[in-house]
Amino acid sequence: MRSIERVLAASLAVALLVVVLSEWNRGERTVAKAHWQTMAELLKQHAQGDTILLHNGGSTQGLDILQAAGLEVRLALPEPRGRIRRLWVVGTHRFLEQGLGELGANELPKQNPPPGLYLKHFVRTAGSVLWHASDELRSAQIRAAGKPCQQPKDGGFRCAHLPDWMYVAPTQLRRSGTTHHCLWAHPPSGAKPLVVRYRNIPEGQLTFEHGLSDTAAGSNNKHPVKVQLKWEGGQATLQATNQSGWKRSQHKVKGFLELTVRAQQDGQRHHCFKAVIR
Amino acid sequence: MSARRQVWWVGLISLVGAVLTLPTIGITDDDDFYQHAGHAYIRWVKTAVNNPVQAFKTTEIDAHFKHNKEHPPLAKYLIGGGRWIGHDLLGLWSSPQASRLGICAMFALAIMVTFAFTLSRAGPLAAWFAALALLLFPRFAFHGRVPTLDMTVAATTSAFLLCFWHLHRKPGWRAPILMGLVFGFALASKLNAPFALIGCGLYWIAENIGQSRSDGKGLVLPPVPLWMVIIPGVGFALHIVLWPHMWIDAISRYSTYVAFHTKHYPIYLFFEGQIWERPFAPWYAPFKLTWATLPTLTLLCGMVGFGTLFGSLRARTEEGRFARFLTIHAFVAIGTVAFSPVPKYGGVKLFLPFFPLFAIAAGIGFSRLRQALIKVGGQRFETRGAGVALVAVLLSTGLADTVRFSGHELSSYGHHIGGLSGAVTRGFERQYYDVFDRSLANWLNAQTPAHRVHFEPNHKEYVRSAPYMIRRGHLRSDLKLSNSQASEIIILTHERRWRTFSDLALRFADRPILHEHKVDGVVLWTAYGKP
Repeated sequence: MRSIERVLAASLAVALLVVVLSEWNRGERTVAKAHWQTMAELLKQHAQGDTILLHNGGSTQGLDILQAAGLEVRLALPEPRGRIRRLWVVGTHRFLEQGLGELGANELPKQNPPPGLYLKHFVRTAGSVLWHASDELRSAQIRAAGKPCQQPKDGGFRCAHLPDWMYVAPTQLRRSGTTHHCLWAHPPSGAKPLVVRYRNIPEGQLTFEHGLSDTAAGSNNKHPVKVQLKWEGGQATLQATNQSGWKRSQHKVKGFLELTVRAQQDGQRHHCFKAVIR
Repeated sequence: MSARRQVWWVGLISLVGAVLTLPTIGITDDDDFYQHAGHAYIRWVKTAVNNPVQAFKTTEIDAHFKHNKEHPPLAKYLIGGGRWIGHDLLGLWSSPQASRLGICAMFALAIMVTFAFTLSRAGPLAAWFAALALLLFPRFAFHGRVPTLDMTVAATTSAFLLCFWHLHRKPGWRAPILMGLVFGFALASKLNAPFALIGCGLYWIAENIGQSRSDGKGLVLPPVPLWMVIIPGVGFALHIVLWPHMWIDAISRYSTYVAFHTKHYPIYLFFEGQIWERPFAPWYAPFKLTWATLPTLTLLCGMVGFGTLFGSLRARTEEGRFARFLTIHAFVAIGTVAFSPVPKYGGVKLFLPFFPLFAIAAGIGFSRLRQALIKVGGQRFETRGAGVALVAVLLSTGLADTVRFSGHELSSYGHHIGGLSGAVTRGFERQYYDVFDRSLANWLNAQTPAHRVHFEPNHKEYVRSAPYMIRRGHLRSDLKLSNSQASEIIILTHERRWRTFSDLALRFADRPILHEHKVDGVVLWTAYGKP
């Protein structure tokens, strides 16, 4: 019994010690300007054009020096994180690897980082996803039958001027017995277009998948859903029919990506798509 | 001093403390919803008193109760009532400030209940410790001074649990009806109140499972107690009586109300270095946030308290019953958010009813630690002075956090994770709620009047909250908010739950930094000038 009392008394002593140490270490860890300048030189040699994250536990110490050296330094990881190809994390605090996805730790330059500063280097593994249409939907411009669709709905947008099913948002759709996690993109009536435009995409290989639901494929409406893809310097025309199943195609893309979805008759044209760039 | 008098003193200290520190609290993005609704509800109450025939017309009810109809009304009556008394009748406070008085009263009620509960289980010193530990938990104190629903539901569910604990074994009708009425106030506060009754049901099962027996016909449970029928019935009736919006087309409107919350739209949370929207944050987020945000020594006492309670869980004594009661309700209060498919946003706000229960456990933990010190250290720890000194030591981290994060309570983190800077390093959010705080207002007040100001990443919330800051007299009235990044001043608030934050900070890199507002060494907002 006495040992429990001792453990409790010791836990109080430890907690008090933690508090004292925390107070002792409170405040910014100031690093000399010269060290930041050395770090700027090191990054200029190895990280020019890469994503650089300043990680000082909330302070912006050194930011002005790194920026003055012509480096693009971020205060937080860019979203979506698929945009990052190479990441350098620099700062006064040790970096915890959280939410880095397919970024893996990579070799550091031979020179040691200046005293008081940490440096980490991550690189995206080959063939990993750089861009995902559903992650980027928030910043996409969506128009249906000539008017913008801006009403938030389930992580996407609804077209307030059209019926309830006119929206672009993540959904699950069954086709040929398989469930696909995709973006709902139903064509408007009267052969009018639904346009989804992503203004900035990374250069790479686009894998585009789309199709109609099993229910739609079994309906009397035989009109295909036509999808036109446009990007900087190129385009492709695709279509999803009752018979075509879930289709997949690949394209070399860059700049922007615009999808135009339309059908001669819109009844039961439950259309859905997925798009990733690697 | 009698126990009753001590409870009132605790309430008075909490209320006065909350009201006196109201000017330090900024305007949240919820103020505009709830102040507006509260004002409309009280206007209707006044009409109901002066002209009942007019007030009970469908059009009149709808005109007043259409505001914020997705949440029950009690907190909004308190918000509107505070404004009416504090501003319209007494003229002592500005309308936004007076709108918070009713919530301050709920804050005091939650602390009084904590005190009363702990007093009966662990004595006056532990009760004072528990009450003050809750008072000095910065995030809880913040929600006790802003016009939202969370403190009201925390206070009313705690009051219901106190009533239930003292009355549920009493025979007759009066006790269940009284419990039902208090439960009705909780139901009228927020949708998480019914879970307290589920906790009572689980407690009843835990108490009576030993009495159930198996015979040839299967499992025979003890008879269902009267309270199990009366509390939900009376509570639900009072909840509907208090909410005129539900008097019209009740079934359809009530279904809409429940459906709204079962399919709540996603709200961002920055947690473990990632933005969570859908999927919602992991189930353990509420537990981890509790661990990270409580003052270190309060956390220690709470953990010791729960450890002590766990040790008594199997006892068939009053102590054992209380241990089962408190642990079940604490688990339900936090588990409701942790284990249900709802957005887990806003730090600890969504499971605020957990914290009075945690503070009671902390009071019990305080007693246990004191006993341990007496046994290890000898008689000198037994004196009243030593007890008071121990209270002071164990409240020191709460006091330090309260002072350090005054005006920025939603940025408070415990010493054990290295304060706010340690929290940022671990990937916790440094602030949320787009609070238009005093630091921001004071800095803007000092700028040249002709400047246009633009906020990023969430300008629209500041457009809504700025008029309240002006009405409180905290912000100059000639401030020009502009929805253009061409403005002379851009305020970038470091809320990482906004996906655009990183790109915005990079885009503003060519602008001169006019000011960085730091708390605990961490930048909370940056003011940029024209390039």
